[in-house]
Amino acid sequence: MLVNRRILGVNLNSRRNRRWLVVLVYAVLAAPFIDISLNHGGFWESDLESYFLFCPAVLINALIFGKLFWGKRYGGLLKPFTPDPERPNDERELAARDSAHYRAYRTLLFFILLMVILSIGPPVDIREGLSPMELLFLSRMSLYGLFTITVTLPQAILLWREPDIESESERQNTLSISRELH
Amino acid sequence: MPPANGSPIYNRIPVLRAERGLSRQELADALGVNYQTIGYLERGEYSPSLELALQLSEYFELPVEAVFSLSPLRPLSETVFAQSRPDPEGSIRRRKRN
Repeated sequence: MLVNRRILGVNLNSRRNRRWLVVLVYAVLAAPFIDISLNHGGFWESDLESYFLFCPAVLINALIFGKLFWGKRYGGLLKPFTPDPERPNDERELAARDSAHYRAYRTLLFFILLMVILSIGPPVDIREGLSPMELLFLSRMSLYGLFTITVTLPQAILLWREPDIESESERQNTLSISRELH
Repeated sequence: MPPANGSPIYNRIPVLRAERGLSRQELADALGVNYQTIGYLERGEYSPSLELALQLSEYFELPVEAVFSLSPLRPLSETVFAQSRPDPEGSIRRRKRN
């Protein structure tokens, strides 16, 4: 499932390093949401800003996690999820992929339920006090957030959970037992 | 992936691989799986499908129960020695009968 890879000299065969990468990626993805919420009074000044929410998720997913360049030379830490004769996934890798998607689905379900509760939870006077622009802003923020989670989470879960990739010496180690000892 | 019910499946893959002087990569290539999967199997972190278990036992030319077990496996040398050693109680019984 994972591809042997170094990015900027960082060995991503190590799970610890991969976890740091996942944290960094989500920090980058969350930054525009936080910035817009804090510095713009919760509103976009132009539609251009919405691309700062939308594009990073697509780009990071394509370049780092691998949706576009699945494990190819210049990007992608994972092999393709779909059948690929060049780099097939074996049964354990397919099981890991399915498990990651199931976990992502459950997480997504949690966020959708949270949004449903938040949309009906506040008192009527607060809801009625929101202008159409504020409602549009909240709806778009929610959709972008859900989109980001949907497209990135299965890959992030795999990068988080898969253990260290064995070193070349472990891979080639024969653990030979001398025939004389039999 | 451990099995859903959580009970591990024990195996002798590292010993059999070592006996044959195979690397994980070589065994993985022979079975058509990723070399990391062999590591998972050896560490008991993944329970193979029936197909892979049968492929492994066929590859090692052993019955599947010699390679995999639901209970911890005794060392192979101990098992072989126990089979080749005459049963002392059985021989006493035979002597008494005679």
